Amino acid sequence: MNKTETVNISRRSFVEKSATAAAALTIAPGVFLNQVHAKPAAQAVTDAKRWGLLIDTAKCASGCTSCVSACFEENGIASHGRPLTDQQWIRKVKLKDKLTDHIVSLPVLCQHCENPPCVDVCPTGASFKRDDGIVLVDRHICIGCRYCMMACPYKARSFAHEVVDATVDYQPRGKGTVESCTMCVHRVDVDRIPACVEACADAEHGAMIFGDLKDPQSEISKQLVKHGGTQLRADLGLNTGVRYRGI
Amino acid sequence: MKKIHLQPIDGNSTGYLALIAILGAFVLGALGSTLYMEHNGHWVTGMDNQIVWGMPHVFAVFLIVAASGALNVASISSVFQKKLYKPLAPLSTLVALALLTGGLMILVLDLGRPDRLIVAMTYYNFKSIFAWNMILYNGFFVIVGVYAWFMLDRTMKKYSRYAGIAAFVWRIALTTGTGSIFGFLVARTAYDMAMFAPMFIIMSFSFGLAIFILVLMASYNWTGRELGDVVVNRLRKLLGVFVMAVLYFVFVYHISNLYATEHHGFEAFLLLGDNGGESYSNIFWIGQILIGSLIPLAMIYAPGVANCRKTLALACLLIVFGGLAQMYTIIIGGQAYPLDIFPGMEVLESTFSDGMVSHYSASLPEVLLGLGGFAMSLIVIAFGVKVLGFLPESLADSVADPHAKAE
Amino acid sequence: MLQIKNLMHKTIISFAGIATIAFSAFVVAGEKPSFAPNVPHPTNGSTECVQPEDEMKKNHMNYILHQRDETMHKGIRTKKYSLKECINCHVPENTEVRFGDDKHFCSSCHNYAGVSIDCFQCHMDRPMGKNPHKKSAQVNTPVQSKLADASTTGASNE
Repeated sequence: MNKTETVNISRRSFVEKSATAAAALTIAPGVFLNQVHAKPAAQAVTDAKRWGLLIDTAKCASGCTSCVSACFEENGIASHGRPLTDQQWIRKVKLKDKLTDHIVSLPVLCQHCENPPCVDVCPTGASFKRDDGIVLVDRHICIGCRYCMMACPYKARSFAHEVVDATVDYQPRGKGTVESCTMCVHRVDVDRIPACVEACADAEHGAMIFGDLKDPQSEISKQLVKHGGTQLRADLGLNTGVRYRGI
Repeated sequence: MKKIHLQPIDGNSTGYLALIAILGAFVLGALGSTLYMEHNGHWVTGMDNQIVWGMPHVFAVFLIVAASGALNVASISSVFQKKLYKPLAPLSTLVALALLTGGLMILVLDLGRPDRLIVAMTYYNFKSIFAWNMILYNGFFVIVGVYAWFMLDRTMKKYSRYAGIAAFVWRIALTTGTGSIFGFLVARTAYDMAMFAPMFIIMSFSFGLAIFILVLMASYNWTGRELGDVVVNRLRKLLGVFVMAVLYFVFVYHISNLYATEHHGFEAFLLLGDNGGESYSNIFWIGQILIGSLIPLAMIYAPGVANCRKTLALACLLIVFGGLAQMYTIIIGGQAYPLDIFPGMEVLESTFSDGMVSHYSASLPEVLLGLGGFAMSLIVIAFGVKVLGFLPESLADSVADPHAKAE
Repeated sequence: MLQIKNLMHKTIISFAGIATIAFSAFVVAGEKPSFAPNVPHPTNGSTECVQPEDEMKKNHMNYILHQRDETMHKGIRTKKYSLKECINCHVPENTEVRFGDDKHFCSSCHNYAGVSIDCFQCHMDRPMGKNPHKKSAQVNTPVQSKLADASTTGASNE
């Protein structure tokens, strides 16, 4: 080992350390200000957080289906060419106001209600709401009776009408059970954002914001305070976690 | 009153065996359909993400509703102490249990995961009316089973009234639960009405009695036992009252809906056939109202046909047909009309049939499953009357009610 | 020619005959007559499971069942008893062998014991490995910085 090598090694490690420090300084403000901690795997979720989505219909582009494709790809959902029985965890809808003729486009997905009718009607308790507000189907105990599909006011649930050959191991799905948007719970639990939100951001629209509704400092809460937001079918009193702006 | 002898039938004739064979073929058809649907997945049926409950559920809910109504005759004898109905009570319990068996068979076999029946029996969400229904159905088997036992067993006969009262209360709860499956669905325009519970109770009276009369007349006709006019006329008049009561409830349901502007869309869809609802409108007016209610009423009350057994049998068949039509408009019509997710807005485009009327055509496996369930009920009845003494040896006028004047 | 006098003799001789035929069939087929399943070992070199072998043989279903409820309802995603990790270790990546085949780790024993399981009607029966369609699979993207990229107006960006 000669002197040049020693100097090179130490210079390399110096550069590495500074780069890491610089990166940390860039990310750190966001991390500390947002108080986002990676949840330890062994820790159970609590109701200290409530995850929600804010969708700005003004920014939602009419012909764009990035969120839909991202959801399909992320969760390993394949189309069978049968639109009536294929799964649709999220779909794009184009609406016209009957009074004003104003046209909006928006994605519709499971609204992750605080008082979900699907949870109320499920006979086995397979449809349940996690403490942090995400509504899920426990497909281990789902018997496939489809009663939750009848009860959902947003038609958010799909039934697996055919055999599923799984291609992703983090989102198991199977024939004969009911499924719906999980708000990418496998991502949320490791401190990432749902695939649809990420895809919308990547497509340069930024119409979807994901965050903690209970945290007044989160981006979603600030946007709601500043610009307001409405629920679909607010009259039902379900207190949805997905809010819309512009309808 | 002469003592009533309850006697099992012989059950050895070719006719009986042929009946069992034909019914058995239908049951096998149902099992085959289930295998086909379960193996391939439900995409092979007419049910999809828009119409999630189809023909099997039409049959299943009809049978379950009729099951509790068939118990009526026994309840009238035990709870309300009408002597004329006492000999009919054991058969009434058999028909009730049989119809429930058939209905539940269809329901379980149509599940996405019928292999998880044990999960359904062990995991309960007590806020769900469906979960309560499962407890009510199982309890019905136990309570009515005990009731039948008490009536057939000479040593327990004195307790049969208490079992009868318990069975009556239970079956009211059961039908209330079945009606509430739909009545509790707040999101759908066609449902979301507290009236569904009492409406289903009154429907059960009508359908259950119609099937009971058919079973009674058929079993006495085919075994050569005597069935007097007194019993038949009493049941006939009771059936007429029930059919009129169902018409009343249907009328109140639609009048209430028509009063609410927000429900006008659905009412126009169902009653006038607007917006793609022609088939549902036809099934409602022609199937449910005309064939299922008005024509049977004419057959029941028209002076010329009062004592004609064949007319009564036909009236009962039409009532059964009308009942299935009613279930069809409720279950499938209610789902075909789209959810109103965006009030005040028109849906221009959607990949998930938002805002669009859905179309349903029953597939063969679904119809076979439904018919097989019906056949299963009939096999249970046919087998039951052979094995145990559910049928009185004679229901001639002199036996049933010696004091009745000839009509 | 033996004189078979009573039923007991007949039974013993029939049984011996059947056993001989069965044994010969096994020998002819080339398989050793064993009364235990042929469970394949993990191919990644591990020799120890998360619990001792006897314990896992008896109770693996309880661990899996408990973990599934913890993960599903509470979001606890520890790896020790995760079904995904069992598969990642016990089933070779890129294998063509599927559940149901005697060579698959789970079915090798479950087929033998005749105990049907429905896990793999939904779960993957082989490791997913590096998923080609997932971009930036391991990058932990903090929420804040993604929002800063996305919103071009009005978003706060410290």
